[in-house]
Amino acid sequence: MVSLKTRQPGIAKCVVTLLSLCLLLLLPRLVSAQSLTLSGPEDTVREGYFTVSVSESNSEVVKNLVIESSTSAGFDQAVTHFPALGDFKQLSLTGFSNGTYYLRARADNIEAPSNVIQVKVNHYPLWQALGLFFVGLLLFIVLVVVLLTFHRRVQRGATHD
Amino acid sequence: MTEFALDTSVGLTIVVLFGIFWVVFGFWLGRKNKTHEDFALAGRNVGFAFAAATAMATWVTSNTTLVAPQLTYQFGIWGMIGYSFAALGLLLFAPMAKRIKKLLPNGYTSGDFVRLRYGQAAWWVFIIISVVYAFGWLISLGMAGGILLESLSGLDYHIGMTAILIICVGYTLFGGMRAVIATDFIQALIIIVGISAIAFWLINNVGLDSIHQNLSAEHPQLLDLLFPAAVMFLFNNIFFGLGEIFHSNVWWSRALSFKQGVAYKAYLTGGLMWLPIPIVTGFIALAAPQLGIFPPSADMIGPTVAAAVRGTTGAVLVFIVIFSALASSLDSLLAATSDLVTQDLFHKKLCPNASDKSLLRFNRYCILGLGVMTWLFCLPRIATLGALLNFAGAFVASTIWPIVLGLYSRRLSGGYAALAMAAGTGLGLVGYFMVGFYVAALISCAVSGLICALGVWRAQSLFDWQQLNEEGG
Repeated sequence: MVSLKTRQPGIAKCVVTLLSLCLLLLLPRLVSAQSLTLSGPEDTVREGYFTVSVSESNSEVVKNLVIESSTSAGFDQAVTHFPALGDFKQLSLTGFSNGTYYLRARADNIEAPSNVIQVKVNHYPLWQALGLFFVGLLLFIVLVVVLLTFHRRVQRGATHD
Repeated sequence: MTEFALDTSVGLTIVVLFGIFWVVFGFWLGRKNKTHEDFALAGRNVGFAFAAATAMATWVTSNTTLVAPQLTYQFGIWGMIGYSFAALGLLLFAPMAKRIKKLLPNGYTSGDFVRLRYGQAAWWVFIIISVVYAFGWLISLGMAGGILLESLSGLDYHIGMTAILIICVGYTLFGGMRAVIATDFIQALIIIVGISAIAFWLINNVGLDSIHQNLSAEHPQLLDLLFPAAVMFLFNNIFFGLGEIFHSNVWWSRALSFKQGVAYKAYLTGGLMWLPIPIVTGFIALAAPQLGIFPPSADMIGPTVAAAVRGTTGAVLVFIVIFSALASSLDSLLAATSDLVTQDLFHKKLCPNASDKSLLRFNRYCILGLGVMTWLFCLPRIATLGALLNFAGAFVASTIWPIVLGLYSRRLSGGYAALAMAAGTGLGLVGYFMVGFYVAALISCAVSGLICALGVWRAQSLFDWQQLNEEGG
């Protein structure tokens, strides 16, 4: 009897400890299975296109991954949806005008959306772009004129510069 | 759009069937090669039809089928139109090809010309630029093969990349320039018919109005003609295209392999045939947002959209067209680069007394070696195709002025030519890293042009054209 009395609390303790361990092991899995992490450009985007990537902590299949984009942090206005291609977890997005965009990821088999990232788009100033354009145009005209002048001269049989 | 357009097994089957066809065809054509000149320059006897087709097909490459849609997806209308201006490279090379054929009737490579015209210092700078460019282009083509299979069938990138390299190395190894030009002719026909069919299907299925409405509402920047980065990109792309064609042995070896009087017409025709192709392939990318297609990498946009429009049939067609485009450029580049190494390095520097048979053998080893090195560089997917190609823009655009002035003017000396290429490349790279890939070629060409102008102005002596007629080729 003495031995039984002394054994019973021991078994209970073991069971409780084992259950606690199981719970501890299961807990991170349950949490991570529901989490998507979205990452994107950290610097200001100057060209209006950028790439975003989604990671999933358990490396499980993510069904129908969609990136949501909005100009408001609360996603309460003008939400645009960008579906991912196939099983890819990276999307190349394009055609953004100047502004701040908020993006998050969603998937059919994961209840909670991902973290929200903020992407700032600020295109090059137009004077800078047009400056380079006209430098290029001038250089191109000079090149074509030089080439065609030389070609004509050679056609006419001139041998000196 | 959650599944790939092709089964992995279908994609692999097409690769294997195409591979067998091209390699056997190359082997059959290669039986006529008796000398190194036959192998490297197809006996200098290529007629107009083949000449125009090879000019056009070689220029339709991963640039046109994958990068033109990528740049349209990123830069909108300007990406598409700007890309088609690369045809100016072929058009402006037409008079130069005639001049090359006249000045170097027995020449082999562009390196030959630079060495004879400008001397050793300029030759070394030129060779470094040529090698960097050749590898940039080879790697981009190998990568494109992998990207193509991955985007259409989900097959691992490394398998597609390896397959296209094995096939192209295989038939170039057996057939040399003769096989390159003959396969280019067939590939040009496939490309023209295939691209026209895809564009027709796209307009029929999606419609121009709906594409325009979607872009106006959700991606207005793509329709903006004052899109700053796109405006900056326009002339950069033109100078990149000019630099690629003016310096590369791919185009020089063709000019030298054509019959007398063919080069001028062939390059003009090839350029005009090429001009509308980037507009068609680029237009495909504008339909992507309307179709809800947002690929993981911008360079996958062309094939994925085309496949989405016509399902499996479209995917097979796209696959065949892009595969032909890649093969037609990869084989040309392998042949031209191995000629450059064989002629300029092995024959001129290491083994001047090498027999014709040794040159032929060395050329074949070179093709094989280039294939292996390209494969190794392609293993890590280092950048998008557009970014990788435009990195080379800083290098090649610096050669535009030295090549043009070298062919026509006697006033530019080797020292100024070398300085122009080195400084142009250096500052072009500064622009690439400090601003973006869309300014690298423009800066490079401008700097090189200024130094060349100074060189012409300060010329002390005039070059004697007779020095280009080197004995023994």
